Amino acid sequence: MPHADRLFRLAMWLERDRATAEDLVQDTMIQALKSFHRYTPGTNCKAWLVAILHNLRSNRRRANRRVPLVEPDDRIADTVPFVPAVPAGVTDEDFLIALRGIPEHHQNIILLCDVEELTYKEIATALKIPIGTVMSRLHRGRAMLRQQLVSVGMFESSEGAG
Amino acid sequence: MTMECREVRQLAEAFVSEQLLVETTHAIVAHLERCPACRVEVAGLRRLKAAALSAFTNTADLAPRPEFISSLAARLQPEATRERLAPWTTWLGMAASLFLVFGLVLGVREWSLSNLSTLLHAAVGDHRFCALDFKLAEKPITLEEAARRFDSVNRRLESIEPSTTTLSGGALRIVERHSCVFEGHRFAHIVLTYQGQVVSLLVTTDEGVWTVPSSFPVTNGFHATAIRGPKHVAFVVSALGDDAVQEVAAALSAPVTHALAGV
Repeated sequence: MPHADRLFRLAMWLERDRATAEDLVQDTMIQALKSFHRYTPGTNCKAWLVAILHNLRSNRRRANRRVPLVEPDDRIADTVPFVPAVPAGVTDEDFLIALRGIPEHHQNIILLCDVEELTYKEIATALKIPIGTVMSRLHRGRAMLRQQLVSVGMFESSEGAG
Repeated sequence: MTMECREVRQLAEAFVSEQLLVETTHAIVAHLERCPACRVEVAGLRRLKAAALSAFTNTADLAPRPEFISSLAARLQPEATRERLAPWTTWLGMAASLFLVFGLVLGVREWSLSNLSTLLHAAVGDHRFCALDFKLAEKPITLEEAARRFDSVNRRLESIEPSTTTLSGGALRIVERHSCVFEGHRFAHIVLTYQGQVVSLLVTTDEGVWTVPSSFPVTNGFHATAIRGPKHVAFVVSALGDDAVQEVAAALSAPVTHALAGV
């Protein structure tokens, strides 16, 4: 199935629970089938599926009220005092530990841009935020990630990434 | 357009993510050629992007269970059928819905041909701006680097040679091999010469279900044909006439087919 593997990896990262991630991916694909008449042939199918996945996840979180759905306050991340160089030889584990160390809304955008390779516009559509917010969160997120990578490297953390 | 370090640093992330207009990207490439400090910054951002891709592609904890994928396909089959029978469903929507599950029904062909047209235009644009005008947005990388970062097929394309180098119009020679990006599509690009003209072999990923048409329409003055692989398509593009392009494609067909199939 096209995109199922990538969608699952994204869902697994977001949910941190295999059963929840499987439910989310299954519901995403079912929703995609039901609304395929809204898909524009020739556009990025993966971006469309990612948008459905994020929309379903937001609705679930809102319904469950487990997590308060407040708009992330970007001002918290406004001050990144020093942006270190990207260390060489970053392992997969180091990277995932560092990524977990930054706010979730910054994680999401970095993943959609650098892993899923969506355009800024596609990310803005998927997350229902302005394109300017995508760009500013990416910039701040990468700066924080670079700080985290240096920390992870310095302390040689042995924690798991899950 | 010349750029200073400050502007390049502001645009570096969008540059690495290939989000910029061709002209802006070209200006950044020109700046990087003469500025070691900005090259270091861009290289760091590329490492960050590569690390993200590697971590998410290779981490076993994030991978789906094979049983989940197979059960998902089984679960979606009746949904696809139900959607097909729904009164509001259009023919295209119905076929495309089934495509989401199986990728094998009539809708695929419609979708794939649209995708094929997009790829053809990108290949012709790459031939023009990379091989002929040297105005490519992003500096090409070696096939070896592309193999490491993106797709191992690049490594197999590093060593292919035409099955014959003497055609009816003279010698067919390979003069350059690299990996480059045009309009968001990454190509393995092998530049050849034949009859005094430049010919491009441009290979990119494509898993669409379509057979190679007997001929492509002339696109922006260039003739093109294609060689199909299981997960890739290879375009042969040149301003040479259709007969000459077909002749070059015939000389490349067997080695390219073998490379794309991993033989």
